[in-house]
Amino acid sequence: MSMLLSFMLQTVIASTAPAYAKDKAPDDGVPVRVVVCDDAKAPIATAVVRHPLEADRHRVNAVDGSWEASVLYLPDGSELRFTAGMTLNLEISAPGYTTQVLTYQVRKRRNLIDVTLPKIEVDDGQLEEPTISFGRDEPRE
Amino acid sequence: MHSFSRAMLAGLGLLALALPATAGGWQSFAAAFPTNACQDGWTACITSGGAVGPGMLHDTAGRPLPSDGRLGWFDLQPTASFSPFVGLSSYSGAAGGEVPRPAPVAAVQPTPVAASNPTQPTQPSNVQASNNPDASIRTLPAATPNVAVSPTANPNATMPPNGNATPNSTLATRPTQPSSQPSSQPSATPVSMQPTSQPATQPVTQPVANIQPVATPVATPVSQPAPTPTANIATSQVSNDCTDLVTLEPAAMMGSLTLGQTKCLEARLSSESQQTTKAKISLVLINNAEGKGDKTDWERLVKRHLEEIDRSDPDLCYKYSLQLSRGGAGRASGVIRWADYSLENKSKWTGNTYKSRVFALERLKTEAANKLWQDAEATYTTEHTDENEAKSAKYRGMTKDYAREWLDYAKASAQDTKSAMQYCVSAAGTTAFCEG
Repeated sequence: MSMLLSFMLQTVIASTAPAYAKDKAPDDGVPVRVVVCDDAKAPIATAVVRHPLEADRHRVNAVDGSWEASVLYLPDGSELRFTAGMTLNLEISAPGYTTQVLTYQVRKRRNLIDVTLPKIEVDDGQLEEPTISFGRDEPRE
Repeated sequence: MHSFSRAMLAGLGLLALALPATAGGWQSFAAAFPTNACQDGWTACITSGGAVGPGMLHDTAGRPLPSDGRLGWFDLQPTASFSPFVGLSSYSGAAGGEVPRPAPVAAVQPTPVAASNPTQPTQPSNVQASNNPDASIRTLPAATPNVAVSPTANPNATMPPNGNATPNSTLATRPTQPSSQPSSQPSATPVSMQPTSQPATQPVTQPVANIQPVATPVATPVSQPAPTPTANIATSQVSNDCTDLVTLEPAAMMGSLTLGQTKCLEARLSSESQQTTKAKISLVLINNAEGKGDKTDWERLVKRHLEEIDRSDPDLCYKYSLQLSRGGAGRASGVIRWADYSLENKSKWTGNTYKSRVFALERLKTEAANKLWQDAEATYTTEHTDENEAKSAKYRGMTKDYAREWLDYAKASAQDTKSAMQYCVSAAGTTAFCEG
């Protein structure tokens, strides 16, 4: 009986130890999660998130419109880790929607940002339709 | 020597006596031919008693009278110009270099004149004047005393500013028939204006008959052109003839070409060898479809016109591109294509038309590329393949480029940049690309 109890205790300790160690890893940044929706609060599947210093655009999850990261890799080879207290700039765009530039101060935890993209306004009534004339010969001058 | 000097003195004396006599003889007739014979200031006029001109008048006995005389010298009878007017008659023609306006037509009243009127025979009576003094007065060329005036028969009765008569004016030369002017010529049947009605009515009634040919050609051109186009349209509609394209244009604009005419035009289009004629026929069919409101047929005809006949008309390319833009992403490539063709010939536009059309075409291209980009992105989100990703990147690049072109033109032409900037930033992902 005592052997069984000691085994269970070791198992519990072994399973919890790596997780604890991971949270405390000094190289990881603070995760930041961005959810992109439209005016109707529906996720925009085609939205992308980009840092101004970054070359690549990160697509959101097509199902829920979310994107999450704790570190970004810049074109010069450096890493940009999100740390608590830092100011983060992100550009969120989607085809057909107005681009939003986001400025966010990273917190220690629960960095959840909801972004709403308005659709680009198109005024259909402005374009005039020309009248098509009949074919007539124009005398040369 | 003495005889020679006597002869010289006699000759000089006779010459001195003859010169005043000659001068006095010519000057004495000046009063008989006044510059303005009528008392309202005109050179010639028509009174209730007949026409008055610069020529000599004659009294009942045939004796000559000055043309501005109001009463006969010998019989004290009133002449034709005996105070028939209240004031000066007005001139309704054009002044200076203006184009003469047609005067209102007054009815010609063939009222017979009593033969016993003593003032009648002294005037040229080939024209019967109306009772309205103002309407009856017309000017005559000053140098032509033998001119009769047609009072009100011709609406184009205007006197040009230079005093010369135009072919359509009412100034008609006096008829050369001796019967129409029995008493105006001094050498004609003298004095005897008989009170009997037979000889007197003939000169009066004949001029009335002479007026009618003057009025006839005026009424003819006015009434003829109006029914002609209607008749042609009706004829072509009934006969399904499509030979004269100009005749079909009004019906095509209304979308009322018959099926037979449409088939005839299609047959001509397929058999016509000249490209310019093909274009004319095709445009008639396009206008007919637009007049009917049949957008499907209109699109088909315009596509055929642009693909097979002529794509040099920027208006037609623009309109077709605009029509395609109302569709979905499947027609967006066509929007860009025909917008580009239209922009190739944008130099045919000028002024505000140029600005608005180029702006609209840049907008159409950007929106079409954005539709393609949206569609490619949606496809890529459901099907992650390299091909779909490349397509999405391509259309995004197109949107970015077109939006930037649109933005640049909007800035250059001082037009609204809001939408262009939104598309540009959306496609570029950054404002730096668009604001730079």
